[in-house]
Amino acid sequence: MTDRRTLQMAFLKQARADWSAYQKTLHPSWPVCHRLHFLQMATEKLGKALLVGGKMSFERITGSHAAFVKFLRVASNNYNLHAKLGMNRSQLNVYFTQFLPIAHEIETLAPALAQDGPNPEYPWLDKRGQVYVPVDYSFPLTKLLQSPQGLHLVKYIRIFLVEFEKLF
Amino acid sequence: MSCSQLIGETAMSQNHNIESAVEKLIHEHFELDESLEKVIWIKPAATPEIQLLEINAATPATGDVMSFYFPPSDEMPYSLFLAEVTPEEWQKVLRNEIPLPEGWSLENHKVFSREMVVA
Repeated sequence: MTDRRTLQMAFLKQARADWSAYQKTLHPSWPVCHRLHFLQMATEKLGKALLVGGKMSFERITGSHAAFVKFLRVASNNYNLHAKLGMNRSQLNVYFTQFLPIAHEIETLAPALAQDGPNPEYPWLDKRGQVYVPVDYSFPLTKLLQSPQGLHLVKYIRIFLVEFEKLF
Repeated sequence: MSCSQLIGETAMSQNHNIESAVEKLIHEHFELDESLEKVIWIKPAATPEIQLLEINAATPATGDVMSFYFPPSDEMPYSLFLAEVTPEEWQKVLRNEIPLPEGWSLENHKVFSREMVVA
């Protein structure tokens, strides 16, 4: 039977690969939808890697797309993060709370959570029946990611991915 | 002092220590989060780790008990497993409609409400 650490590292490896692809799509020649797709996938797999550590069953983990926001809500319990960021639990809680709306927007890009609305993978219809194609759509999330909170959140996603073994 | 007495006293001391750590942690959580309604301390049979299930109306509903691991540290010398669910999800857990993480059981647990913890 595969041990949890092996499984966790598998999700982490894939998350890092998605992050690497996200970095490449930051070049203006790439459509926004691809950039957001890879960002969403990196955070989803990061969330899954964290869930493996939390003893959730593999079957439930693979079916889940919503671990990243859940994790951010409780991340202030991680003392390694206190040391890394120089904040106590209370400060870290306030700090991470400001990221939740943007993290939620990233998470709900997953088609399974997008409720037939904007997502970076598949065309969708609005209530009037108008067709939208991800590659032509200007996602409002892009502006949120350029805000100070968005930039900080992306910075911490990178830290979580790069320093996962030390932090978690 | 006999060996069995010593082992017994050590176990009692460990229980006391983990209980103090849990109570302090839960108190901090209630202080930090106004929407936290209850905390379920799930007491594992043998392992010296803390498992907490928090009932919080502000957490997103996912239909799962997503438990996260937090490694021990100088401040908290126990491994912590922490999950948040909505009040509706908690009712489903009680009806066995949502499974708990592997190794978790409600056979031995203690419920902390805000009234109990925050004066």
